[in-house]
Amino acid sequence: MSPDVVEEKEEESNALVWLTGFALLAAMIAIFIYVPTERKEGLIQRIMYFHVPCAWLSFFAFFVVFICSILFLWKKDREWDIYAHASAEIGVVFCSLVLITGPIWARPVWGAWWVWDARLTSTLILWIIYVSYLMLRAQSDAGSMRARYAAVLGIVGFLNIPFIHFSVLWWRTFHPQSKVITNEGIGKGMDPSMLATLGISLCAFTLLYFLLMGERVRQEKLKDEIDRLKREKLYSS
Amino acid sequence: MNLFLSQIAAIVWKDFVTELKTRELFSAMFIFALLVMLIFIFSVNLSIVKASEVGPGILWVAFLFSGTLGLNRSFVLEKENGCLMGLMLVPADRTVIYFGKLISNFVFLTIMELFILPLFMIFFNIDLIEHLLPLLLVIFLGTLGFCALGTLLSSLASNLKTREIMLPILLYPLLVPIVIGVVRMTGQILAGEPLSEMMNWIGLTASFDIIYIGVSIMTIDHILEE
Amino acid sequence: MVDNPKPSDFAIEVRQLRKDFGVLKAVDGVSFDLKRGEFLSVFGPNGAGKTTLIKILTGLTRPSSGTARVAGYEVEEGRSEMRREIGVISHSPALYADLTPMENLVFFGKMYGLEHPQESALAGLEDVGLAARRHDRVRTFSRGMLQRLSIARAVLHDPSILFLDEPFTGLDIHASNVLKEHLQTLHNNKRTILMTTHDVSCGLEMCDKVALQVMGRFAFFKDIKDVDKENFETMYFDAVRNNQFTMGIRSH
Repeated sequence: MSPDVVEEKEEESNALVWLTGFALLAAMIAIFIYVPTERKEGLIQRIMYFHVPCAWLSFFAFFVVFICSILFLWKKDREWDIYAHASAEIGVVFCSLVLITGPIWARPVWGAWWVWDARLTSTLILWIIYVSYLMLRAQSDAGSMRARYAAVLGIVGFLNIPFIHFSVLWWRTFHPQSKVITNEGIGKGMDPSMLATLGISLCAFTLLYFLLMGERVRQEKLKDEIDRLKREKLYSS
Repeated sequence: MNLFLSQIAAIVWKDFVTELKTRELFSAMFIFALLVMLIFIFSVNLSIVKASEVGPGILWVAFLFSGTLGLNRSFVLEKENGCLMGLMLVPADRTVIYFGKLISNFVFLTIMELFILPLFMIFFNIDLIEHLLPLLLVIFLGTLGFCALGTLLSSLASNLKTREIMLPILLYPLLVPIVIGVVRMTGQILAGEPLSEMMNWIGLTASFDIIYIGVSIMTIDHILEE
Repeated sequence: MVDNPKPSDFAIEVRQLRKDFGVLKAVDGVSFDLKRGEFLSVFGPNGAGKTTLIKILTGLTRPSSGTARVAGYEVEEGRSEMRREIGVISHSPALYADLTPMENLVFFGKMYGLEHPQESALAGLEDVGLAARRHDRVRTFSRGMLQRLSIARAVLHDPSILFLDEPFTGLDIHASNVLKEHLQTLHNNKRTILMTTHDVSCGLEMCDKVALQVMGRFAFFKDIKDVDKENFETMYFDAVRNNQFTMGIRSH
């Protein structure tokens, strides 16, 4: 990499850092100051502005894993492997946040920490699938084998999502729970100010994804570079 | 095409000859399935819970756990002495290896399940005879889905240091849809409902089977590469 | 539909072959030719990429770049026709321990689509002197017998090119002498042989060409006539010693 390119890249990532910072700040202001408190659920409802973007982000991240996995098996280029890995890590982090914020929200509203609601259940299974994906990566040595296996799992795992969705949905409908409230139920008839806040929050989190992704990919490439230099150094001596 | 089929047949034949000689796999799977059922019977109070309600779940957990034992074993046999490498050198498509192992896994598991069913009938006092045909269809769909994905992932896990641990961790979350489906269907069948009442589940498990066999055909090349 | 390869004097043609992944370079720009009927010994320290080279040439793994033609077929296409032309013997015998030698060979005969797997298997066992034990389980065999059986498996379909990956590993002196005899016979039958080994004396004894692979590259590739054996030995041990320092880096 020539120094010019490095500088340009740094400028780019700086711009992204500022943009993400502003977006997150705007989201915070909107969530805690601008948006009115929901009448029925009270203060706790504000957690939705974190919960929903986290869910969106993790789903998006897993989709990126899927695409990068296909591209990797096709092109066999380490680049795609790095992207898939980074995206899976980010996806798991935000999926964990969904699983943490969910019960916090559910406790006062539904009266239970955990309800076997279709959406929560699907998220939990998804979380386990991608944790096992990361475990698989950790278990195998660096190299093309790890990348190929992870890519296969990235594809198999994502294709599982529609099956999980329908099976869990039908599973629940046989035991209808009176207190299950889906996100659509809440989303319906939302105040424009709430919709706007959610929108800002979604944007901020999406930017955050790209920022984290860029950093993680850069880190992984530096690791590769260090390895290469080490080998070169030892080989030449 | 002819060679393709005869190669698959040769792999299945080889697995059967091995099993007839050692009798390691079948007995282990059968006893393990039996144990799983017993443990669940002890942990659930059958005088409070209706047997027909918990039965299907226990039956399938027994099938899946002992099936995992079989999957683990089947690729360990191939890895021992580097046999898998020998298989990969023969003039055959990688899918031959996949289908050969899929079929022998499937047949072993199905035979084991057929032995478990009468015991299930006795332990839970459920009459299976009158629902036998739809039940066999459900067992076929569920076992096929389990083996389709299981064969793919066990070929992958067999190259890991911690294969016995990783196979269930990779496999079980992906099997959730099929487990929910077959348990639900088995329950409904035992309750006397006709198959037409559960077309959505049949569709779900059947498409699961087809999609994962398809994905395996497309990706097995990348797994069976040294 | 299958276009026959143009007849060529060369059994193996390798051009700028590379296998790398990220920073790992197992094979790094190897080029060489091997005429039909020649015997090439490849020496090299652990992790020099000898096994990877054989894996590429036998179609077990794909090269990142470069080309390799084996028996006139592009390796990367993974053609069945090419696999019919090659046999592989490595330090793991690739035999099912719970089956008998006969069952093993019949199984592989079926996989190669042989017309008379039973007869071929029996003939193969007789060639390596194991016919008497054809109904014993392979699990009961000694290392030397396994290796002989493994030869029978590798030449069952009468391949024109043989790849041997460290065939002497774990053999006692007697067994490796027997193995050498078999290799000599196979070589006399005009088979092309590519062997990787650590064992300098064994390797130099039989071959026509010598190569030294270090850090994925061919540091040395010569006719046996032009090789000063003692010099070569010193060079090889130097390479092994240097390699000790660089080993740890392969895994993070």
